[in-house]
Amino acid sequence: MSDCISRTGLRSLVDQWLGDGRRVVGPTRVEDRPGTARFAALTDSEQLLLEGFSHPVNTAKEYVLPKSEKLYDYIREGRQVRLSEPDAEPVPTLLIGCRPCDAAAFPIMDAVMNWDFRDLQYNRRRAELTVVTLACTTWDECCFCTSVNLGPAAERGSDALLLELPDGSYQVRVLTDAGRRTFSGRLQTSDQEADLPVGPRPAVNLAHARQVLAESFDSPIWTEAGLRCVGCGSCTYTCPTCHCFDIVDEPHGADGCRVRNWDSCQFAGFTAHASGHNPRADQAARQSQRYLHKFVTYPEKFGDYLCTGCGNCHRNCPVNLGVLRVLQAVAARPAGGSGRR
Amino acid sequence: MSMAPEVPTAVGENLYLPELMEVIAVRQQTVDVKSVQARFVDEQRQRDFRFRVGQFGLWSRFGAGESTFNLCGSSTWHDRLEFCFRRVGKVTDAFWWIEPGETIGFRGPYGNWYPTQEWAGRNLIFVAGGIAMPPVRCAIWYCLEHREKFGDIHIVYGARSVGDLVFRDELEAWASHPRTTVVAAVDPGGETPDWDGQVGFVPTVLDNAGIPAENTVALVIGPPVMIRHSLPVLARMGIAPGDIYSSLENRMKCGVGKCGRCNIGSVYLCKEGPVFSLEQINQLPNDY
Repeated sequence: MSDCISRTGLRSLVDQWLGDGRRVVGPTRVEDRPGTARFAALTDSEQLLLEGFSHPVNTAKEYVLPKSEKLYDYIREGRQVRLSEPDAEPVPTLLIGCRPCDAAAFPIMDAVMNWDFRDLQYNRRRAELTVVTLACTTWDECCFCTSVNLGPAAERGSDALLLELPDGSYQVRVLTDAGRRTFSGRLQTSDQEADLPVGPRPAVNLAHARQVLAESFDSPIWTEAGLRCVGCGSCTYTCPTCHCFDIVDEPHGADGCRVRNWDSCQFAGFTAHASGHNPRADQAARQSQRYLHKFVTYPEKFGDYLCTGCGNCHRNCPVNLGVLRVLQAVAARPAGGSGRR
Repeated sequence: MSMAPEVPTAVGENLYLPELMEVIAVRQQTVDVKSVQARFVDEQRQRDFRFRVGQFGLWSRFGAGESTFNLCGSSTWHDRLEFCFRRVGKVTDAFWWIEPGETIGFRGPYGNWYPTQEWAGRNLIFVAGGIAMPPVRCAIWYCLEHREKFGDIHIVYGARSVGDLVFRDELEAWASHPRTTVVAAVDPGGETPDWDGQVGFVPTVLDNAGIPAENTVALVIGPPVMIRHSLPVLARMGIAPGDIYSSLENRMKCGVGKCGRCNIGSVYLCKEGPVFSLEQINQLPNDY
């Protein structure tokens, strides 16, 4: 016996949220690119794409950490300056058809955004986000959730998890109060139980890879990766856990605003000092930073990986790099003395 | 929602919203270095504001951006904050033209501080090179204002040339304190005909200064080359790595451990630095 919802029921849930003036985000079709999807705000429940792709080309993180957001306006009044905060209350948002690897990224980002200092803008959006995840039934050669202690039906970060039933409807596992509210009055009882998907075979010995990484600050691995990497930043922008940002002024005449934009550790300017000195002077150093951050620095601080195995870094890489490929190369090396920390 | 963080409600929780300050004085220190004194527009805030020497702030010149500068005045000065910068990039170029009466922004204080409480009863050596004097200056003034708490104080300050010495006019005031010496130096070729200080590089000047090193703590801040050559000198003098301190810098944006760029290995300079002992620095990878 299980709680379930029909496809029609799911679409009527979306329509109700839209009708109430709330926001619904989910995977949508990408024109002229069959087999791909993109997380986007829906205007109609018919746009929601629930199958026929492995992982959307982007991630859902932009709905809690936008690509660009105004932090405040500054207004000049003679020699003085006045600041004005945007009063935009975040819109309640239903993220539906979320992937388990995207959902798991939210608690991972929560840790950074609340590390002693609480990030108001992020937390406000996060509190208004309801995550309804659809367990994966397909995965591609880039997927590696099972290598980072997650899986195609992982519940982490979700308010409810949907599992496809043989008749095409969905078993609903309600996980939180928000999930309960979302599905209240919409569930039926089914005598079917969904089969748990197994997901991709674990493809790397992460415990060993982490041991090697911990002593690989300036290993030759990074020279190799750095020579291939073109520094485009796609891996960071399409990663559900990458959260690094820049803060810049956008002047419009005498007034203007200060904005927070996504940034990438793969850009030279990310760490360049005004003096011209750059502690991460080449792409090798930037590659080292990315992988050590994900599997050494973040785990040391927050006891988790800064990676959910979604594979977007590989899927979107113009030179066929990506976390899994690099971890496999790292894991192929012996631990102990492979490079100076 | 799952694992929801507690949402803060206080208006002040917009971490990135600076507090407004009024510039009260600007001082040109060298051909490309200026120091600025400012006070909070909110008078009560100015009275209540507290920081520890060694901490820094994110200073805003609206329209150009924000930069990280040490709070280079003593933490006992409650009527103003001070910072000092070299004109080297976009924000500092905009700050160069700042005038008294103008509004600037401040976020902070951020970062850790010099463990001055642990320095009580010890002799102190302050070593600074060039534009690195400001983060040493705050500690010097603080220790001189609490003179009775510390043993002998020796200050060694070097710059490329006489014109590159910042806070030069304060050297004499420091030296006038009891049990305090100041050795000022310029690199060979950087002296002027009326220069009455030393000529030589900081590590050599430090080596030749004959400073006794019993029960001593050293604070060394300067360009990497100066630090690299000064450390062996301090080691020869017999000062343990745990008693040698420095303040490191890396590019920062948020100042609160989120924007992801100031880390040296697993250490975030903005939250876990900028102040480290040499013992700690020796454990860090070369990421700064």
